[in-house]
Amino acid sequence: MKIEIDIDEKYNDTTVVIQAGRLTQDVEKLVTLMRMVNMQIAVKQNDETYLLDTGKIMYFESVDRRTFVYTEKETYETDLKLYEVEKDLLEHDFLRISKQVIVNIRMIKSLRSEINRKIRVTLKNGEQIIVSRMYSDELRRKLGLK
Amino acid sequence: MMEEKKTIFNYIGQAFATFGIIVTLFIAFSLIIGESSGEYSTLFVLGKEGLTIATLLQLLILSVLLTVSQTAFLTDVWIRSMSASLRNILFFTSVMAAVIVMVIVCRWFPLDDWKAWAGFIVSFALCTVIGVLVSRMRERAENARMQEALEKYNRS
Repeated sequence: MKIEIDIDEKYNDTTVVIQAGRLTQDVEKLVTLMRMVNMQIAVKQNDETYLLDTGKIMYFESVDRRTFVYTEKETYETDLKLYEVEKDLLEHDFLRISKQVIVNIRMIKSLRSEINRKIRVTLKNGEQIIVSRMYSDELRRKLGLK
Repeated sequence: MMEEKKTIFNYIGQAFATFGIIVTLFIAFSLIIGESSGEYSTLFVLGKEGLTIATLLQLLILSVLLTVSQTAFLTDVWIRSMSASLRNILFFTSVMAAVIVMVIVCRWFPLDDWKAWAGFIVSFALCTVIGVLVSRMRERAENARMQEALEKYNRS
């Protein structure tokens, strides 16, 4: 893949042009990653692609090497791997809470300590997820408790 | 960051750690009350001279039972979803049952001595109630602290 960067004061806005022979999965992934800069993510549902504001996402879950995106009512799929999501959204309100899940902290309704230093997270839609022991300290740190 | 998976050797280590603590406590007891209770309890037949091999084996069995009970009720290895208070109650109940079995089988004190039984049950029940209350208070305080931090985060 060829990458050209043209920096010049004559440009008022930043424009990214992708030229490709056909729309491949790599191109889609590239678009998704760039969208995340604008806090949007390309997701799929029933063969249709949508642009989703990350603020609407409750959590990402990796199941059998596929990444699912959950909003309050809908479930989508993304081509991104969990580590790619983590890398781009960690600076924002997202946090990895287990090997399979990255959660949007702003979508958490309540927290409850569990046995073995785990934490039970209740989301705004009532869903519950467990923060594993290895990641619970990171959640406490993010919330300013450590 | 992989979660550490416990092996059988972790549990054996845990049982022996419990055994070490129990033996240390019983050696201390034998030094303090061993001489006076040597004829009363099979645990202190050597008086303040120490503990017999039979007693050590009985304490090792008790340590294994405690480890099994601890793994069952104070971790999520076998039971995934249960409140901390209920876990504590079940843990103390199972430990009490294990100790009662050991008392009966090993004749740790005369079985017809109701005063000994009453003392044992009252002190154990008291420890259980205190343990459960302390754990419940800690759990509530921790939950309130986390909830407050979450609300502060969401306001920012």
